[in-house]
Amino acid sequence: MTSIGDPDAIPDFAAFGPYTNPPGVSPSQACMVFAHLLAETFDGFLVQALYAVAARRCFDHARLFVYHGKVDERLAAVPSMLPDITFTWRANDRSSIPLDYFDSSNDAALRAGSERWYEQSCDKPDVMLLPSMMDWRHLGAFERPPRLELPRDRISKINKAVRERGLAMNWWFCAVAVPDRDSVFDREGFNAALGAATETVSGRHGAALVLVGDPSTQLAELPAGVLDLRDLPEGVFAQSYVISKARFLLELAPTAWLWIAFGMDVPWLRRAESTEPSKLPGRGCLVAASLGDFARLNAALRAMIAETRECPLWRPTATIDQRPAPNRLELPMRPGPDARFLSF
Amino acid sequence: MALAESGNPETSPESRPIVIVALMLATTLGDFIEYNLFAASFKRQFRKARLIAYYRRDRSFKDAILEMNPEIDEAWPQEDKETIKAEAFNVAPDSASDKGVDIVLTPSMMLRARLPSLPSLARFQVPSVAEDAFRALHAEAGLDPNRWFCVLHYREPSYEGRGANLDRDIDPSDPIAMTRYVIEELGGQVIRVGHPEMAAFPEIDGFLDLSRIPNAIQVQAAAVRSSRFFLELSPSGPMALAPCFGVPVARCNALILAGPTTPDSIVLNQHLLDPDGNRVPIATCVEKNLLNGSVMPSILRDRGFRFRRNTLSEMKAVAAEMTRLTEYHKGPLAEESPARQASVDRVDWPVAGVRRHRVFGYDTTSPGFER
Repeated sequence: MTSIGDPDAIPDFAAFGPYTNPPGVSPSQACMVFAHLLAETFDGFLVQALYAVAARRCFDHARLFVYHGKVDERLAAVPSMLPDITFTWRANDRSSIPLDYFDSSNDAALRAGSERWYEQSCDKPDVMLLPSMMDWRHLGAFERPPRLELPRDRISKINKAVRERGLAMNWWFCAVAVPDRDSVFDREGFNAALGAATETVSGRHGAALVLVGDPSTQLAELPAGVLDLRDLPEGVFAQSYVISKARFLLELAPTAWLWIAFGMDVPWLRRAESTEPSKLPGRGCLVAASLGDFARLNAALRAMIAETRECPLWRPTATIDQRPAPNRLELPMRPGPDARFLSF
Repeated sequence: MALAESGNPETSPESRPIVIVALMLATTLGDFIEYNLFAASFKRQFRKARLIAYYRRDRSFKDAILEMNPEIDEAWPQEDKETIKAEAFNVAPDSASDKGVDIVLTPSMMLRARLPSLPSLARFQVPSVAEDAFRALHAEAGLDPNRWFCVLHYREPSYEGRGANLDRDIDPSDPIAMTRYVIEELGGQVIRVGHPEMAAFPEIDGFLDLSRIPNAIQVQAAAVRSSRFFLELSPSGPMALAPCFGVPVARCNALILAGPTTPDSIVLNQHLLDPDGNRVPIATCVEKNLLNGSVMPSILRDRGFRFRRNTLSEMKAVAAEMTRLTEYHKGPLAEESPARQASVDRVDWPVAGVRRHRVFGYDTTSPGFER
């Protein structure tokens, strides 16, 4: 007697793969992305974290796990501004993960100490990102860019502090990134350029120039029209909040804060030494000018103000790009488009 | 990492090779071979690439397998508890350091089901000394050089280091009967591969037993390379050699649907029985993905599902069908068909698992199923 069971009574495991779709297409078969965030500098760490999120956002359904060693407060804040990160593995020292932890067999020679590693299937990534793969020049190439998002419970406190410091809420402002204390940059030239920038921003438009960045960086006396908010409470979160509300970010000397602007979808204007193409991503522009070239700087500022006319007040919170994901990651990634030069 | 505007942003073949590190973390023969084939085939998608094999030197066959993989540029063997940490690759993307890596392939990425998705599978190369040894053994055993042969393998519980596996181990009586069937009914010859602990076969004209020779994986690979097809009577690692040479496979008593990579290959699964002993139609198994390697052992078995082995007559039907499908290969020691060189420089990842082979439904081979 031929005996056939009832097929309808048998559960469907089609989503278990791997014969259905590539990982990332269906919720039951999320793409597992694992990124090693091993940079020790703020800008390097930001780039790696943003890259990891960009990779995760290549998929409709993905889980992103990141690892970092012991890092300072500024770096440690970054993952908490990236809600696309599913889980962050943190070490108490500078150590990193043995490659054998990605042995998913029962015979693994070395096993991760935490059972959670295996419960979350961290041993079975579909994509693994090492520092040498997370190239900042690729960041502009992702179809769905990464977005930073401030923890909601911090915003009201920061907002209150900003208002108490006198920043007008009914008009736009321009954030100016100040390099870190130990950065090598022309401090006098910086201050002079800042003073020149007030001519356009404050003088013509009545808007404030707001300093963000390292509060311990010593600057000469600030010109009128410049508000220094570098010492707001809540550290990186507050600085990121101010940048997120700016009409655009002005960078007179290289800083990591440009990546915050990128992650907040805030346009930026960067002073460049030359007119060489740059892969810097985001809604940004470059202007080739020395710190002393005030005429060119002000022309660039006027152009930038014209370009950002959609933002007459504080910038609204950037929305997460909800376009369908490509559900694929190009390996290796290709560089994104060059940033645009403003020429006069 | 500095935001310098220097460095070459392109990772094109004109600038530097794509560096791929494959974590070949497997202690089992089949997985290790498949990781090698996957990584080699993955590399072939790039015009200029370097493939680094990270592996543990814990099994005697590993160096021999790597030696047959022509796409390996560098090997990083690890002894005992040695390891390399991710920190070793902590260099800026634009760094001139030789520690830079463009792609890491983990075991979970190098799935066997994904092998047929790659545009071109690499071919292993058997060292001439092993090839010569095989031809000498072939002649010495009195095998007819003008007559085709298939390679036969199945799993026995005697394999050192791995132990018994109730779903995969079979008694040698069926393999002996199948050997006679191939020789006497299908007109071929049979070469068995495996390990010396396997049960001895009786003397059979047209049969050569390479399993008797210890640590002879390369000689066995030479046999696979020249075979008409690989006849696997129960799931076991050596089958993984066949795709490395583009050789079609007939899998019997299979527990999963994957394994072969060519359209002229066949998989015949073990009968899946529900808790009442009713056979689940193979179409349902495929549609509901019941035979994917994890569903049955981790979920269905606990619910009372179980496997029942293929019968000898089913295996004979598979061998006969395989002979028909490989009619083009009647010759003796086949020449190797070269792998096609792909030439893209970027790949879209991850790829889906696909099936190019035929699932030989047990509904067909055994229509009169009885509980």
